[in-house]
Amino acid sequence: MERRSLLEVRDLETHFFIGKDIYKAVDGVTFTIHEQETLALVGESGSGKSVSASSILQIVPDPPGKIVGGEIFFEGENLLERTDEQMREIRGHSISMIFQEPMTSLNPVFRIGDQIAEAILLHQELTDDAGNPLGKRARKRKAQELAIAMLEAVGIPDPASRARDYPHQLSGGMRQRVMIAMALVCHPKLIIADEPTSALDVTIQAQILRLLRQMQEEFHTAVLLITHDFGVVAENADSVGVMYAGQIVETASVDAIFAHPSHPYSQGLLLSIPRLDQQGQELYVIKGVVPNAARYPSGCRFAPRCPIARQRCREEMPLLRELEPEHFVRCHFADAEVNVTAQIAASRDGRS
Amino acid sequence: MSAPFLEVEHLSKDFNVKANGKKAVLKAVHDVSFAIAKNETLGLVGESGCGKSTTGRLVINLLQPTAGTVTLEGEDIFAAKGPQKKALRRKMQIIFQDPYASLDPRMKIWDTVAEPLIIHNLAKGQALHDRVKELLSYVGLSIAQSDRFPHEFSGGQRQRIGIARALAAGPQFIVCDEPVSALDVSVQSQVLNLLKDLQRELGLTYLFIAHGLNVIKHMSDRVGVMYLGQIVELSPAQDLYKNPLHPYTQALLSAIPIPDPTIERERFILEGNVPSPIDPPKGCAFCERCPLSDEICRTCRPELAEVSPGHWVACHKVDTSAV
Repeated sequence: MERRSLLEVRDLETHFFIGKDIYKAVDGVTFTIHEQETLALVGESGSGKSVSASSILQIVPDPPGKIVGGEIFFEGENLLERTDEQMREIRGHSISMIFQEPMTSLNPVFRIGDQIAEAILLHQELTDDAGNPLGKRARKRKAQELAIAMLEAVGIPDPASRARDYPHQLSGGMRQRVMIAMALVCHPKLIIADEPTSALDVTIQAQILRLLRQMQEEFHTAVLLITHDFGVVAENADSVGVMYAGQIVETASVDAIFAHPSHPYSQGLLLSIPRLDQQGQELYVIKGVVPNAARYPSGCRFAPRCPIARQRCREEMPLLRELEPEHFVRCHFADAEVNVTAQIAASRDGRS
Repeated sequence: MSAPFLEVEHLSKDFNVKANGKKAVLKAVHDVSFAIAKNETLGLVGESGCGKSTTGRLVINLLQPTAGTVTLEGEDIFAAKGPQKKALRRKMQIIFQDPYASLDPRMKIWDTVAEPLIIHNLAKGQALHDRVKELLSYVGLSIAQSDRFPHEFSGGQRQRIGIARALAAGPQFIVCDEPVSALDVSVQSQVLNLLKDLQRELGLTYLFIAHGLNVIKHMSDRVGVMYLGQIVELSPAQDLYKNPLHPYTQALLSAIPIPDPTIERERFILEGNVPSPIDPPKGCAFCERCPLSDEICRTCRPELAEVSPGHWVACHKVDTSAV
């Protein structure tokens, strides 16, 4: 099947200038999202996944943050060359965002129906049945109707009266449904979901992820899903980018990343999760800590924590290279067939 | 089985709150009973607001219960007074969820870890120094780091400092209240391994509270599942994961995403939200979300009943359907 690329991020660099230090939160991130595809960006806190997402919409706080390099192509056009006004047109209309904490991203002093209607009034031409533009009052009424229909679509019971509620009157799961309704109401081509379920309980998380998948199918939307949970990745994503220290260290289809993770960091992360479907005694530990974004080690950024690091790793930064079709890895010694970290874990278990 | 190390009987805790301007009673924990054997880990799992943390705090006497008793090695912990109470405190400790909030930002690590030793008058001078060094080495920190402040440490290191402090007075029983939920996965595995090692070396007994069923499975010998202030299922861990009986346990297990894209699962996704503990349903706490519920569930609260050895469940629908 011919897949058309929707968003291409190339060598994106977003740095934060704080005092005398330069924090390289995003430092050479490259990935592609195809139409209707879900790409998951996964990594630990501070790896640069959220900053990558905010950079796409150019909502990184400036100062101190600044996009200092790279290109972001959306439907073939470089978003970094757009004016502020053009970006406002894109945000919420072609690309919209769902944040982790729905309470802080909904406005507490407006009714939720009005907040959804605002997005419609800003971005949509509303017409009557004959196709004529509507008057001001009729536009507002129509936007309210659409907002209520959207609330119903995301499974909010009694949407007409809920539309008159304020955010604090809703539970966490309901608020996240409102966020999804707001994000989808203009039928964007791409939704950026930044840890959309991390603040929710598991049974509610399952509801929200199912809703997101249903909506994606219905509206043919692509999703950039940011998460730290490999379980969420496995069940929702088509392809995966693993981030470490501001860079993508491995990107592949979801099946490839779980079947044969190739970067030692991806391997270590997968081995360190306690699993429901497996009985393990000791968990694998990635030794050391994530490096400070202002003082990355020279060479490979994972080298100080890597079980197979050699002299070359400490001196020369590896490039993202294609290991097999559609499977890229940023490691000098990675091999699609060998799981180094699993071997180390196994040999250690054998000793003890 | 010998007498249990820790025994909790009919424990309840009500909080007086205001709801919509009116006084109301929030039943955080309602008639909870369980026992923990020495050296055992009992996991408590449930969603936010189910009362698992309140239970943890009651069990080590950080909160006074509305009703019920907790006995540690036969001693009633709520009846203890004065020096007896202080001695009991030495035996029971807690590790908190948030390593950023639970350490005093103005105390150096040395003082944080030494404080329990000084309060309980356990060591002085060189002996105190040696003991702090030993405690720090248990958790993989060096004495050279001990004149630093908490903000100089990462989340995982802070959690290990919290563990060192909890171990200081030589406790036998530790409540671990979501000890890894604030940590990244690579750090989480370090802390979980550490807790297991310490249990083996020091003969500790844990009440391990978490919302992640995978973490609970990794750590626990037995597991209690809580919903709306009550234990709805209590079982040896293996048994619970292989053969969950309560519909809520089944839904919880089914809701957890498994990090393996090749596994195709029948999902059982719950509708609705956890009801408010201010005005809980009259019958079974779970009846409003349960696909099996009928008239009896809505009117009559099911009691915990033993279905197979050690496997207890509170559900009207289990006895007939499961056996």
